[in-house]
Amino acid sequence: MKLPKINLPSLSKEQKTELLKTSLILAAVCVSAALVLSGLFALLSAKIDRNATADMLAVMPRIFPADKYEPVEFEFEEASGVTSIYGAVTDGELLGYCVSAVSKDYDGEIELAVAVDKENKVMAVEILSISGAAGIGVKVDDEKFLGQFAGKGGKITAVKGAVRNDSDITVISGATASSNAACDAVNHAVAAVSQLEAEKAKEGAAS
Amino acid sequence: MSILSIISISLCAIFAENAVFSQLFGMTLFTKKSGSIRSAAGTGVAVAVSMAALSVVSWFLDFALISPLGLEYLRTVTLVLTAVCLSGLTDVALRKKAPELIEKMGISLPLVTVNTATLGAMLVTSVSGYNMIEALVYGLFSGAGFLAAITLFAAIRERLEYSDIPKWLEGLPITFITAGLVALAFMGFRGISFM
Amino acid sequence: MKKVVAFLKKSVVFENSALVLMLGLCPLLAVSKSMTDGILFGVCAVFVLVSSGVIISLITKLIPDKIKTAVCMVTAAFFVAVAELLLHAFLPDVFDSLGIYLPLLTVSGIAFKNAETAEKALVGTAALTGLATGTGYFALLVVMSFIRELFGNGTLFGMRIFSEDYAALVLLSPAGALLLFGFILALFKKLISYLKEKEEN
Repeated sequence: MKLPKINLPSLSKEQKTELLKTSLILAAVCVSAALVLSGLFALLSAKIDRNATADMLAVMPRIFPADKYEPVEFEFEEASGVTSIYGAVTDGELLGYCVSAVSKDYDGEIELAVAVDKENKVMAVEILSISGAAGIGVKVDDEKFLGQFAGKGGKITAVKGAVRNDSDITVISGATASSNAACDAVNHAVAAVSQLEAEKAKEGAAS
Repeated sequence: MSILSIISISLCAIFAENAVFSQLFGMTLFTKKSGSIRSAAGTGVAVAVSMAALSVVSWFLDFALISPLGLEYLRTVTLVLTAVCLSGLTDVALRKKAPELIEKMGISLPLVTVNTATLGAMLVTSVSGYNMIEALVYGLFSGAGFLAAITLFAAIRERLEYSDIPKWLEGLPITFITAGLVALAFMGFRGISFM
Repeated sequence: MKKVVAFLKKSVVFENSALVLMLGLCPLLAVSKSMTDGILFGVCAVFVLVSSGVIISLITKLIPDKIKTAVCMVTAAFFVAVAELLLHAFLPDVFDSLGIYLPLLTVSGIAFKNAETAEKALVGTAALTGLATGTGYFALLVVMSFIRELFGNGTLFGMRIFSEDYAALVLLSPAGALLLFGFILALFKKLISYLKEKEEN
């Protein structure tokens, strides 16, 4: 962290050595701090990674019972909202996907776990986390509301009153923003799965 | 990044996520200021400029250093170190080139450049995934929000001096209660977004 | 022993860092919306204040004046980062809900002042000061978190005490924090003047 020499043209030799000494001491302090932190991180990073997947692993058997869940490597587009995809495998056959998606809520984020079958239809939805202030967002953590998503595919729209057609769901009154956010997250998940399947089909056709 | 997203970020930074009334940053600066509206505005401008500049710096640090190398755990130390060093350098530079500026600001430069408001802006831009322009916009408007808050407050405090306040609430208590009421008003901005 | 008690009384009550010296307010107001968050943040605060105080008082002789502030801040940041890592690994939910306010502990006035005192003190005093300051802060955190979570959400430590329909949601917001703090401050001032009178009589 040396000062640019252009600003201080007239430094005597001893001032220069003092400056060097000061910079070196600061650098030493910072480097030792960084080293200790890196060591601590190395020790804990495995636990941190396990925590990140723990939520999803706990929820998946509930929304999509299967023998195994294999993480799928997926190039997430910017702002797609999808954070992870797992393939649900039973008896060696890929039955569908479990997707975790985030979406911006009133004052925070909602994270959902969405089970999507191979026809890109939603099977079940569960809330993973709601980061906004308590009270409002939690209202969407309701079986009746989330159950509306089951069996729907394509782009789902959230409407305020009664549903007009099969691809609509009704928002929870008093929690419109959160309901919209949940709906967005589900749409992100379904879109990601159809994109994934499309890519797989292209690869299949190419090979 | 589009014009709409820039507008959305700027409105969000100044209203919905106002540095003082929504995110509760910069409380020390807030409670210290008992001078005139003018000196409050001066402090506010200084803090706003620091926030804008440091937001870009922290975006750059995240872009070039933290994200590519996966050093998220060093984020706090890096950002604080950078802020302190830049503060020191600016102090030296200002003392040589424009010492009157420091007088005008009324409070010490370190306090203005390294406080919860600036570090808060740095942290938000570092974590947010904004690009450089968006980070600059965020820092700038967050700073503007802080400036508005601190000036608004100095004006309110002046009014409070002439009001009849119950003895037990005089001084800082009524200041905080008033701040709470203003924050309540700001809650009305929550959820504004064009995206 | 009497000196220690007097010292503690002074740091925790009469010169309580948040209520009297107005330090460390930013994280305090933002974090105190639930008991778990508040208490764990308080524990982190005590940890950071004591550890950074000890380290600073140990190395202060070796650091040239020019970079004293920088080194103090880096030390505080270091211990905050340690706390962050530990929370992230063992209590990830709390880590997520504390969000950016844990790092802000580094630059909040409380860490600053603690560093200042530690510079001139011996290791023992520095540790004790950090502990005392932290305890005062922690006590206030507990009080505020208790009120805000119970009356704002109807829960305590996440367990429902009464239905949230009877709760004042505003207490959970920043506005609520400011309002509550203002009232607590007023009551505290009364308490202090009462205690002072008692001591004089």
